[in-house]
Amino acid sequence: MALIMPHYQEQGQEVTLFEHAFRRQLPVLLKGPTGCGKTRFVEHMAAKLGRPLYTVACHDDLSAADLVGRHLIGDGETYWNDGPLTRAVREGAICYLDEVVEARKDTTVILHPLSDNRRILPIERTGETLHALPEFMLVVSYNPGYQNLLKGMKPSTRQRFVALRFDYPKPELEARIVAQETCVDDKLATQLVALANALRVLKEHDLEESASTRLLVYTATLIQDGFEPLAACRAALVEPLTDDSETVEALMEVVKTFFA
Amino acid sequence: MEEWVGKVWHKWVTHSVNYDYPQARVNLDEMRKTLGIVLRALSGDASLQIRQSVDVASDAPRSLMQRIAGTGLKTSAAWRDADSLNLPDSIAIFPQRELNREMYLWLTVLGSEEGSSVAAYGIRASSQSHHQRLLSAWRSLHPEATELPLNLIPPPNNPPSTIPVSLASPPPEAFPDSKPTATSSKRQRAERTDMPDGKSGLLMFRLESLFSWTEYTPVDRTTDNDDNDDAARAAEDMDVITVARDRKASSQKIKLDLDLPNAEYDDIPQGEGIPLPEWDYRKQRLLSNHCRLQVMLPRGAEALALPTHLQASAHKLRRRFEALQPRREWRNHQQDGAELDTDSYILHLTERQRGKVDMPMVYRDCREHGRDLSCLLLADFSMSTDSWVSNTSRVVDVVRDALILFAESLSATRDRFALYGFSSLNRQNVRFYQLKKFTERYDAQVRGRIMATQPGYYTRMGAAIRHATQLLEAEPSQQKLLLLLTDGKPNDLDIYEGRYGLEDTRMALQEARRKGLKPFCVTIDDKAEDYLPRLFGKNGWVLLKKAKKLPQKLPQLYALLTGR
Repeated sequence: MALIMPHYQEQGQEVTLFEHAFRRQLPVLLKGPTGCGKTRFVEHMAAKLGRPLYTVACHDDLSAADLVGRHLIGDGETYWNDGPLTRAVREGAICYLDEVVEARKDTTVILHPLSDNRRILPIERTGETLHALPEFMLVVSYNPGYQNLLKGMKPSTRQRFVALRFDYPKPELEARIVAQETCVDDKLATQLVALANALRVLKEHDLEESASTRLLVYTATLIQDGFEPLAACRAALVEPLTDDSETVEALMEVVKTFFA
Repeated sequence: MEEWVGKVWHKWVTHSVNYDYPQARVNLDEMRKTLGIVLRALSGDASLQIRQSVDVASDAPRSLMQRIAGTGLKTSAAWRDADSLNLPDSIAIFPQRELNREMYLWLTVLGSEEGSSVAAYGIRASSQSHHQRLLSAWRSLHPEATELPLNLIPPPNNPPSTIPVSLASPPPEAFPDSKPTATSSKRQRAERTDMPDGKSGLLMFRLESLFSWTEYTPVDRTTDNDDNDDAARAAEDMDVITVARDRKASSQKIKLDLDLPNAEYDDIPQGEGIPLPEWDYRKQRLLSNHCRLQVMLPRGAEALALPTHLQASAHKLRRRFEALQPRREWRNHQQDGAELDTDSYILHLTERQRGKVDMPMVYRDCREHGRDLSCLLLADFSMSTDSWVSNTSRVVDVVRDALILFAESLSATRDRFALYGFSSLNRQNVRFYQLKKFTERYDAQVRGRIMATQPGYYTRMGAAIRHATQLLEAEPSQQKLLLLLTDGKPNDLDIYEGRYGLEDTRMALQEARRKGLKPFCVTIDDKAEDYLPRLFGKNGWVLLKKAKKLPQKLPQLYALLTGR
């Protein structure tokens, strides 16, 4: 599993911090906009530390049972099946809960005893209480940009984590990332990043979302694969950002300035 | 007869020297959104705006016919200044719409070059290729021409050369005080310029902070003065300004203005006044029964169809919100139901193996999954909403439109909602306009009430919030949202000004939160940063920089806030 280490370009001290947190058994919270590399960072760190990684993409129907596990039916009887969190606790793996605020409220109940110094996971259905191995690590992420009154990370939960803020990388770094991910030449990568930064200025005023590094990588991949640049930008950079056709046309005018 | 001949002559002669192509005319208004996005993206400055420029005096030699016709004195112009790009209100110099559009685009690209942080890439190249296309098209129409007829010029009133004019157009030599002469364009000029926020705010003194001059809310009402035709109104304004300078006289005038109207004309009170407490921060205690709040129905409300200018947006929003109606959803772990819930059944078997005998909850059933949410929208109808946000609408018009679109959107979902407005005149007269109760249907009657609610008086926010809290508290829903729509700080005639008002509002909000409500504030006051975070928390409010956008934004915001 840890054979291929996914590429990750460090922006600050996040790698070192993560290593320290891992050594001292501290849970980590990653926050940042969508598509800026949070998931990639965790994959990279898991490979670097040589631990298996269990990633759970949280959604609004994800319950505690989905994390902890449930009974399954077998040959005339039932047996217990560990959920991803339980498996990580038993194996001393890294468990990564992506967009944790999306999950149902009952999940916080199991996260609390795991994220403080008790590091235990009580499994109600089997009556077991697991003590996490020293290598177990809990990592959660969320996007604070979505302003939702009814959902949001409770301060009492947030305070249990060491927090790391992510943002889109600086232009030179981002260009390097795009080039590395897609094998496009540096000039095109720089051009795409400049375009993305032009579009990011529009956030909140004209657009609700910023162009993410992920979208840039998609665009570069299409271009690298021989797709025409303008059409690639439209498909992978402009259309994903807005549904309003007038805004799309306006953004395309901006794109044309960069790819005339 | 003479007049008639003159008109015909004028029409013919001006037409004969008019080189425009009206059928290919492109208006700034249809391009504004596109150009704005291009300008902001390319310049890297999110605050830049597209504005309409005024014509400037032309120094170009005029043809004989132009001299005869008396035209060609002024030309349309485009320039960039610190916070905006000014473009002519229409372009029709080419016979093809495409080229006229491109002319706008080229000017915008050129205009975003100045001070651009992302300029490194392609902007120059792009503007040059636009320019080449345009120039060759122009030359094919006017073989003798060397340059395009329109280019960026230095901003009028500034010495030339503040803007690098990248092309060799002869910049008009001087505009120091090129006041356009024609009456029609003079009028235009007056309308288009930014309203100065200086002395024109005088009028507001009498309305907002009469007894306390410590906090002065500058609200521009300059547009009132623009319309010279309306002599009566001008006279009225003059009157006010004169008396305002004379303290004694002004107070008399003001008193007249602010007296509550005769009961016959006033809004219709509903029931007895409701006593409400108020927080006095100096004494650090709640003064019970300090305020009296009167629920009222606006007078003269008639059932009203949806205003035509809102129909398109309302339709769009309704469709969007209909998609968000509660779905039918499977619920597991039920005592009774349509299907077997395998997961629960297995759990039940396991438990039984372990010797635990429970009531078998092993079915699943399809039920409507409601969102158990109530929202009360409380809108500020104080006098300050009587100020103008644009040439055609006041804050209160925008607020009314917003209320209607909000109601349209929410009635398409099944969330429970209520609409109220408020204003106040001292602690004994907090006016609480009942526009739509939770139990009422949203219909033509409600729209009539929204449109009939008049702005007036002051903003005693605390009392209004406390009553809204009471109403929300009585709601059976799990989640309760209190949305406050305002254009400024809390204030009133008495001590409810500055810190006192803020502290009371803050306390009222804390009480609301303790009762499980989620308060959120939408404001159009650009100084809100100074006080709203303290009242609503860092993430508990939002500022809409463009008040005009409020009607469209409010339903979107609701969707965002409630996770739709």
